[in-house]
Amino acid sequence: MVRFSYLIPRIIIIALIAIGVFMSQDPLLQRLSIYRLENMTGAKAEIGELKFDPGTGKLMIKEFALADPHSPMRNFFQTDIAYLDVDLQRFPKGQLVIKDGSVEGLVFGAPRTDSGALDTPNKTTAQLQPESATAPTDTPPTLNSKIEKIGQNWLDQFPVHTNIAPRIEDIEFLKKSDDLPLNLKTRLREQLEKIGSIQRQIHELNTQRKLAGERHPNPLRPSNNDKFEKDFAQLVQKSQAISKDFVSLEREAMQYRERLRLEYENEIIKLKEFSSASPFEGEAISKLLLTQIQEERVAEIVTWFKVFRDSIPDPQTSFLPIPIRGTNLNLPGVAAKKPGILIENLEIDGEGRFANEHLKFYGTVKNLTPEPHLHNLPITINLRAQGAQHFIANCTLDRRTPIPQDILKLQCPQFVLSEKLLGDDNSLLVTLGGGSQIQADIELNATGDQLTGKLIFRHANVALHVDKLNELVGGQDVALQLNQGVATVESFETTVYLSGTIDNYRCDFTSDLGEKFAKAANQTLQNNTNRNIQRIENRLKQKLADQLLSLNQAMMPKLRTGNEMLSDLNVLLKTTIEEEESRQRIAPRNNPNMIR
Amino acid sequence: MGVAFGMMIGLIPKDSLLPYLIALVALLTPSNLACLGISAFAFHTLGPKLDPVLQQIGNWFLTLDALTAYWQPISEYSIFSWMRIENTVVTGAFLLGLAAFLPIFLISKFAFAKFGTRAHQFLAQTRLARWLVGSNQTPNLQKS
Repeated sequence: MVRFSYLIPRIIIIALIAIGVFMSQDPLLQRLSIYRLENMTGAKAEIGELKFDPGTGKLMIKEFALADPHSPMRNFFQTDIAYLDVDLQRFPKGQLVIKDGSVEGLVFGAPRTDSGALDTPNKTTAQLQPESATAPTDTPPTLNSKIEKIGQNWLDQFPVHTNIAPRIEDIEFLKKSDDLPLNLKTRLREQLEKIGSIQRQIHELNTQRKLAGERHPNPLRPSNNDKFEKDFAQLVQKSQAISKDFVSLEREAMQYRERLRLEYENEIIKLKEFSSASPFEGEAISKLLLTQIQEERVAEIVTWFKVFRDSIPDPQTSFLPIPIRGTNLNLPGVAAKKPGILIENLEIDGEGRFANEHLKFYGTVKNLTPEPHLHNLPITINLRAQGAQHFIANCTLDRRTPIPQDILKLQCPQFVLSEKLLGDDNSLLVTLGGGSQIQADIELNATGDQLTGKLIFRHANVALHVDKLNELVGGQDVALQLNQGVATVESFETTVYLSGTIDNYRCDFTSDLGEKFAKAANQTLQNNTNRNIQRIENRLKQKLADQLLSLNQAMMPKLRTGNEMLSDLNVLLKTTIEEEESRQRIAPRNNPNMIR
Repeated sequence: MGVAFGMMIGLIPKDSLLPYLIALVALLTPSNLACLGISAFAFHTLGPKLDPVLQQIGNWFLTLDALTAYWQPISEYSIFSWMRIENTVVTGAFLLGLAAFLPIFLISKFAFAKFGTRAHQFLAQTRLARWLVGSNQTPNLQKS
């Protein structure tokens, strides 16, 4: 016969155990949670107090801390208090799902007084420590040489060298003396003297001829006739030569006048070339001014991205879970396994260190689970952080596939920039004044190590000042002029495109700064040049007028006089010839035997 | 019976609901709780060393074509996911425990029958037993 008397004490034992479990459910759950968390993370977990209401599924956890398995003397995070709503309907299916929850006083990276390593750590792996990763402080040496090269290229491609604006000192026409060329004046004087001399000689010859006629009325005296004719022929020859020279001189004077006009017109054409010159080209300016700042900024942001990725709890890399015994098989026909613990929506409010900066933040975390590969949605984190920089971060960590896919969208609504030097010392150096504001929209996508991204920086309240400009492109004079123009550039936008891997990426950017800078600079230069051209043109006109006046005053009366003298000379010669011919016509009638 | 139940409880990993259910069943049977505890502790210590064997047994069983049709209806029970049947070691340990239950039960019964009295006398002489029951009394060990 089977005895059942033993059953009563056994049932009492079971009942006592059940009552004990029920009465001490909170401490038991606390111990169980710590045990599970330590197994999952591979680091010490601490819970100050835990209260669970099985009727409503409300869970309250006080003073929860989880050590960083990679840095045992630091907590991965700790919270003051967390209120969580457990989905009781999914609990029987083996899932602990937090439908909704809020965490207050969340602190990342707080130091610990004791080691957070488990007593029997199964393994330790060396991994990048978030606090050890810092933004680069020094510009890589290659970047400086790159900027120098860009500056040199810019100088080489600069359309106008030496003279970017007309300088009155450089106008050759204005350097000309108002006086006539010495040779013209000398030759004119000589010609006039020669004409006068011939006139005098003809007068003398006539006087001598008349005296001879009076003394020796016989016109048939051969000696008198021969000498006169010989002298007269010489005078005629001289007269013809002088007339020729004088005409030539007159032509030269006219040519000189034309040359003056031509030189004037050439100078005007040269000036017009200045007025249409736009020496600054936008794209080259953008490249020269922004390459350094953009590359530094992108390097900083990529480092931040790495830090951000490492700072966010990544179930696959952040923890060192204790390996389970055996293998979990996907049994045929059985629905895919779901994550054991899932936090669907968690509001967080706390503070932490990020890229060596202390930040206060609040936001939400969705679909957080230690087994993200078993969940059908990626982990999303939306944060608003306030510290030295205010930013909004939206992060998606997709660990559903073997290759992790992360998307980080970062918005810095207003970041005040300190003074920066843009460009190159040897070509064009511009100061971007302190106090300008940047609004940044950053989107980075990382698939494994492959990185792509688009970064938009909108600068406002910009104050630009041209500090240095190479002498080849105008030097300090033009730099001063440029400052009038670039002061009008108040904002600009730069878009950077990233590609490559996280450790070896390439960035290309476009910006409207160069275009705005070039437009303002070219406009200012053109305005100044046009004013300068107008002034120089007026001076040129004045100079031409002075030159022509000088020519007219110095040459024209003398040329006129010379012409009159030549005319008189011709008349004199003609008269003399006619007189001589008439005298010789009379002579044969008086003496038909005269032989000449 | 306590030794056999203890063997099953000890072998199966404790993150499954199975060992707790077996413990509940064991409590409802007239098994020796002390033997159950000692046996469970001993096999719990031994269990991880048997993991390769348990894994092979579990893997063989879970991949049996004949059972394919049954997994889906079984998995619809909520308790399925708490039992972690899909784990090779859990299933292997459970199957090994089931297979070894009767032999262990018989062996332990035979052993207690044969060596129980002598073991009783030997244990009664130990300081621990005397300290537990009092120096002048002999502990009365219950038969398994």
